[in-house]
Amino acid sequence: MLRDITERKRAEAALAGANRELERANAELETLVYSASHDLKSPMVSLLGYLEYLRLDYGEVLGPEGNRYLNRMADSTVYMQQLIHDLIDLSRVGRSGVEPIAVDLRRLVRAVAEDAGAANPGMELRVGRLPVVTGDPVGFRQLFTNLIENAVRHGGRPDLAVVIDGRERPDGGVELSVRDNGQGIPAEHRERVFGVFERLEGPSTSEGTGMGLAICRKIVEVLGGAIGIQGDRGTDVRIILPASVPARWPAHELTAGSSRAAAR
Amino acid sequence: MRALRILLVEDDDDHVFLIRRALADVEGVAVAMEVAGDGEQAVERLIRSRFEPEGRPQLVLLDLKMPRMDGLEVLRRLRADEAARGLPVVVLTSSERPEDREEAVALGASWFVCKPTDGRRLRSEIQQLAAHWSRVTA
Repeated sequence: MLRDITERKRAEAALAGANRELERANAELETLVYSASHDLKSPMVSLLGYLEYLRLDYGEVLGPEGNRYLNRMADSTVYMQQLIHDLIDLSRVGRSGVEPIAVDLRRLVRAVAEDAGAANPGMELRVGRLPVVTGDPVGFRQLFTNLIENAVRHGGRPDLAVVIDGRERPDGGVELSVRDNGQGIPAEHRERVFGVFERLEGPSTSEGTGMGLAICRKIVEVLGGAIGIQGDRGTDVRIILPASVPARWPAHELTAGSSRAAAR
Repeated sequence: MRALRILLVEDDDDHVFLIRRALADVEGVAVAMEVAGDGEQAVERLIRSRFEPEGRPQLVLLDLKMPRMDGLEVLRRLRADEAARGLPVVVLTSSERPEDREEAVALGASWFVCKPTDGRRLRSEIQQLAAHWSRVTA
């Protein structure tokens, strides 16, 4: 009996030690990614700066073919810059150290949707019932910005409709959904798209670095939640936040119609 | 045309070149630019120039990440120095960290510019800076 307890204590201590070690390694890796991505920005400024003056001063001498090369260089560099930017975002998730505050998701999503609507006049954005949660506003904004941008980018139709909605779960948690009527994501790819650098199309066929959903997953997992894709038609991204994330739901919903007013 | 005297504090030679090149053709503004290659040189120059008011920079463009002494420390020293306290300092950095911006502003930076990677924007941003400060210091 006594020996049993001693062994269990020893195992617990070993586990706690391993956890600390893992946390330390993780923190170190994130710091490394963070500083490396910042250090990469400075040469990027030089590269694109010189490209600009090459164009200005020698554009005529280089002729059309030479200028085409310059443009390809600039495009690639801009893409690399996006990658760096997303790496910084990814490494920042969960290390911001900000105090959690009340975030009105409905207001936040409306603001994000308005920006997206302005950039894509053909699409329709509807914002349903969403709670006020307690957390990092920057993280939540990034989550919805990435999901809506992703829907627009991969929806494959100019008249895309995106609905952002939420509901309470029996366990006190929150379920959020961002669904669209676009071309959808085949079932076999629905897990893969959450990986870093994963895009279903090749680099030349679409914008984006493929890191958007990886950032989303990290934001949700830092909160102890889960994110996944459902839907037979279109894409339906479901987010589950555990009951440990405080959520307040609006007291009265007037009518279904008014709560689903168009965002723009 | 009276020249705007700028001290650029920057350790990256390429960035020095690009900034100098942008400042060489600002419409209606002549710029006399000198360079300090790190924070220590900047502090040395700004303390020494106290004795030669004619040559004293009217504007400091300050990089943050530099060897020996970083930009934030330069700001701290300038603000602690009675004669240099009022000198306008524009932080010009590659850093996108919000913490850097907050700290620079708290230390009394006049403005904070994140170096755009887009060459055209970098050029226009620097030219606008010079145009603005030549009006302010005129």
